[in-house]
Amino acid sequence: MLKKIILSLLVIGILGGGYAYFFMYNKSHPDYEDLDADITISAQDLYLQCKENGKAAEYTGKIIETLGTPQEIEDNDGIKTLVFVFEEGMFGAEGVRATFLPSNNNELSSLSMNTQVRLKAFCTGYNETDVVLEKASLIRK
Amino acid sequence: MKKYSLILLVLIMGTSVFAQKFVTKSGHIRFYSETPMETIEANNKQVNSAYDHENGAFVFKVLMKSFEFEKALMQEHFNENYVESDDFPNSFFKGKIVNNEDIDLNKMGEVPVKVIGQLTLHGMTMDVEADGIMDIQENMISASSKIIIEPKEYDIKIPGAVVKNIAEEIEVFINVDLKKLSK
Repeated sequence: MLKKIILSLLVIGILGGGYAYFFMYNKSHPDYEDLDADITISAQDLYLQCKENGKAAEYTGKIIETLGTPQEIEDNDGIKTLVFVFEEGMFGAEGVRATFLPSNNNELSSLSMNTQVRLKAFCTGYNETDVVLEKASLIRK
Repeated sequence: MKKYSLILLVLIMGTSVFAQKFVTKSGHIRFYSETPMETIEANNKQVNSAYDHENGAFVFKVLMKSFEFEKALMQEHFNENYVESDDFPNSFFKGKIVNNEDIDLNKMGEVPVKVIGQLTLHGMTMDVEADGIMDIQENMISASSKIIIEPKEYDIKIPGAVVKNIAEEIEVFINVDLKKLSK
């Protein structure tokens, strides 16, 4: 009887472990559009904090809600990037670059430059020319 | 008059130097690891790169957290356990094109190139040599290359449990469309 109980527990343990591993291994990426922002900061302050104050580590890996006036929109194979330019450096414009989720493409197409935009995105860091934001989505308020 | 001539000279020299620079902030780096156990692939499409035709200098700057994996768990392990991207957020390459004199910006078409330099990854710097192709176009250069990286050379420790899942030699494919810097 005891043998049967131990065997059953063992089987349940193996199945449970296997299920947990499978679930973890195949877990999907977060839905960035649904995540709450960790930090809210203007695009200009974000850039200055990373560039002047060396605080990129405080923002990297976080969901950032930011507000600013973009000057350019880039389209690389259907992936759209809003560029908030704050200065000119050795290799061109420097500032904050926000690359958007494709679900925002329609709205971005009709967006006029030099008007204020609020967005939410995942910050992947500061590369000594730009603060890079990815998986961005527009916030409609 | 002399003062204005000097300013003009500086402006002309400045323009000619900048006219030789090509940059991108949306370069693509893909790495690929294949073992009988598992195939792992990741893409980074936010790569900064610059080429100076004047002296052949070529640089790349890569944010490690910009690498995207198909599986979220792999991405987590990559950042937290392998490249430790909180401690080493950037990877960069600084080098030069050995046969830079073969690149004629007025002659459209592909030019085979050899690049040498140093790659810093996970806080370790190693010499790197690679062959590549520079496709010269109007106001643009498309550059591509492939290098092999061995994680152990960069002190990237792979836990014993997954050591058979990750190749000892990882292929890294580089594709950048460098646009002429207009300044």
